[in-house]
Amino acid sequence: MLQVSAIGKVYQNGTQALEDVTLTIDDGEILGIVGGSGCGKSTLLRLLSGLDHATTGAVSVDGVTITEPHPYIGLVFQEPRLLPWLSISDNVGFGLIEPDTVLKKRRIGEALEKVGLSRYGTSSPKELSGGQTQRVALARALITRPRVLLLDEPFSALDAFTRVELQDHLLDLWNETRPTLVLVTHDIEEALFLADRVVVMRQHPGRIAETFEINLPRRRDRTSPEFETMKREILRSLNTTLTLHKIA
Amino acid sequence: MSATEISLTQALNPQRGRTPITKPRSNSIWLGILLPLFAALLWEASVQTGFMVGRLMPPPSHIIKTLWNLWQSGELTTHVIATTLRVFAGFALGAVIGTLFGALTGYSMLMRRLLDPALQALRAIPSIAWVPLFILWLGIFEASKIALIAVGVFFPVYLGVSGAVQSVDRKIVEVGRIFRLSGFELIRRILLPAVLPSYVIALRSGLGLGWMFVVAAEFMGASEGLGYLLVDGQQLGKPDQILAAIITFAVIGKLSDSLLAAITAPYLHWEDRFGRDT
Ligand SMILES: Nc1ncnc2c1ncn2[C@@H]1O[C@H](COP(=O)(O)OP(=O)(O)O)[C@@H](O)[C@H]1O
Ligand SMILES: [Mg+2]
Repeated sequence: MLQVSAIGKVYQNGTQALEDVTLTIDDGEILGIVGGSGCGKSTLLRLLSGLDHATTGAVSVDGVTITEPHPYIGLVFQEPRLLPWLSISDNVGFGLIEPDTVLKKRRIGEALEKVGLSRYGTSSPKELSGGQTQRVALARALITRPRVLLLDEPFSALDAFTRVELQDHLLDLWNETRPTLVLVTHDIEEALFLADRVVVMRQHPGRIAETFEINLPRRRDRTSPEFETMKREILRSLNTTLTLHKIA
Repeated sequence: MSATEISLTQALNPQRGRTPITKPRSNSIWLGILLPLFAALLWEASVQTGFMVGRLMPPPSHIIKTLWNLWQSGELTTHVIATTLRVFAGFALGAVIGTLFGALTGYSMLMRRLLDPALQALRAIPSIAWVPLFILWLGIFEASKIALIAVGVFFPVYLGVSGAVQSVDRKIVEVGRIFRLSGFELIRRILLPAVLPSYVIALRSGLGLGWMFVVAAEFMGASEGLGYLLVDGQQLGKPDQILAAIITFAVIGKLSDSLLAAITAPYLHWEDRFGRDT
């Protein structure tokens, strides 16, 4: 269980990025986080990942407080952030600690196969498309079998077709080991398609505005009326946070 | 074949498409040689026909003959080896110290604030100004020469390494942090490969300065070396010997740079930059 207890974050320049955010995320849950730009979504993920420290409050996994990156917690950044000097295979295996080279090779092969890039093991990152490099980033994060995977707008730089394809793919991967997923996105449809629960955030300072339980059965039909209804509700909530901000 | 046709062939058949890319490259070598070759031939012809006097500016045939004689007597080899050893020793010393200080100041803000102002102040001193002091401290033989060359090599290497370490993308460092790399592993697996391309450039400009400074060092008084050939040629009024030494400098300078580039090339194959050949 991932427990976020009343965390706040003030950056060194005085920006209050987050204030009093409390969340409990169950094992195996997919949590979607949506919100306008600058409302602290990336900050929240950085605190969850241990890359950054909260100013107030704490984050804990199964009762253990997170103060630095933790082996249970993986992170996929908005950009692929592959290491250009490594082959695709070596990028995927970058964080895998496995002294047995044969075993390591096999694990990398499996991970590549899962994201459909078996043929590209020896390629270099510059030879892959945007969608493919983001798949590699996904494989790199998943190969260590994290129990919590944080994703910061992982598909936002991709075209609509690739995005939908990767959303399906992410769901398949999740189905295999059912890790906890925390997915930040600015695409309401993406959150709705994937998440059990969608948190809408508002800004100045970043806070949770509203939470939606999504009780639609998976695999969700993006064109069903129920899907549309939920989408409209979340959109309305998002708009409220934005207008509230304008009035304030 | 028109331009669109070429790009079409390339798109349809990358293997065949490569030919038009490599061809201009081998052509460009000849293109680069054209101008000096023409100038040399023109000079040769003007002297041969008696149109010009080649006493102070000897014609190419004369210089080649001098080079050949120096080579035959074994003198050229002696001088080249003496100079190359000096450059090599000075380069090694300057590069090692420059790398050390560059890494320290690039990695640690505290070290940067502590060391960089002093080093920048030293850099402002024209390096040749150190010569009298080095001679007083280290004598007139090899030590003072190598010290001067090392000073010349130090600054480009120091600046290059420090700047390269500072400008490593924070985003890539975070990849290392998320996988919990220790300090040493972070340096080995992230920082080192990331700075390597700039490091090679820094080393190459350091080596270039090494070749510049060896001349100054050998002007300080040497009994062998290409710098000695220059001084000797001036004192005895032998312009052909001076030009022979200059040409030798150009050749071994270029050779050593190409060697450095070739040694490091396998580690840089991943670079994805505009203007990169291959
Ligand atoms: N390193 C930083 N230093 C100072 N302010 C920051 C830093 N990172 C983010 N911020 C500020 O914190 C707020 C939230 O940023 P962020 O978490 O990136 O938002 P989001 O990901 O939702 O767009 C913004 O106002 C942003 O300008
Ligand atoms: Mg963000």
